Amino acid sequence: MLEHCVLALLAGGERYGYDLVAELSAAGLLASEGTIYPLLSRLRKEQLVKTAWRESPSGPPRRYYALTERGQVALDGFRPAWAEFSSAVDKLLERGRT
Amino acid sequence: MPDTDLHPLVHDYLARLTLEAQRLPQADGTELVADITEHLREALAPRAGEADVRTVLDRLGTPAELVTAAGAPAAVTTPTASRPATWGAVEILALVALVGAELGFFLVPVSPLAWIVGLVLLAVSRVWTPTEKLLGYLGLGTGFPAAVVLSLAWLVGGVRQTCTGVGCDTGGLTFTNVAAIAVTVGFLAFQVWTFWRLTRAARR
Repeated sequence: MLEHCVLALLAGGERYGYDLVAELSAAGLLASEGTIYPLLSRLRKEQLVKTAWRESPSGPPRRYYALTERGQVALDGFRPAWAEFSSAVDKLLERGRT
Repeated sequence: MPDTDLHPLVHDYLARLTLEAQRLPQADGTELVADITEHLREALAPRAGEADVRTVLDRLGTPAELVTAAGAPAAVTTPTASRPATWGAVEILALVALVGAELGFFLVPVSPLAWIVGLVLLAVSRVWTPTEKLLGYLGLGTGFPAAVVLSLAWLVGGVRQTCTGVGCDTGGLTFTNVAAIAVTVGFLAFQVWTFWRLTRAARR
């Protein structure tokens, strides 16, 4: 699930690693912030994201991550699957309340 | 920012991460260390205080966690410490030597030697726990001396019984005889139970 959250964030444009971590962490989606890096590495190997080094206005260059076409396809496939899953869970929770 | 600007805690963390990352294929390990180094440079101001550094490192996760998340097999501790001890020649020989010394106590000088070998092997075994070893000493280690003492007592008693006339033991079961038999039977039962306990360790 987390990998699709990363893909969704990248759908809005390229981001560098720390920027992604900060946003996912603020959303409460990361238990250990560092584990995002192995995930990003895996997404890159699976060619769902691509990376490029860019100069930073402050400090050393940063590695930026961007969605590939393949990543976009994966994200598009995940959206309806998640909607279905989420609505199924919602229904169960609702039933449990009554 | 040169490395010398990094907080000592960050240096320490990266050193541990580099060490842990040896569990990964080299390219993956190098990439992980580079990513985390970059993260720490981004997350920490150049003169960050210790509290800030600790907070950032805590949120990052331990080096072992990160390396495991990167797909490394679970951390390996020292193989000798983690390898479960298996039942082997030491344990079999210890039991054979102790029981053999007791049953063949009259075979001097083999029996005392076997007894000593048994005691030593019992002590060095890595299978038995300290409690089991203590049981071994009490239950089986005492067997050989007990057999020697009992047989000497019997010999002395037998010599005494050969006398004739007044003052000789007329035979029959006295209270002392019954007590001695009860103690012997109890001791033998304890020995059998101890033997069973020690062999049971083989099935752990």
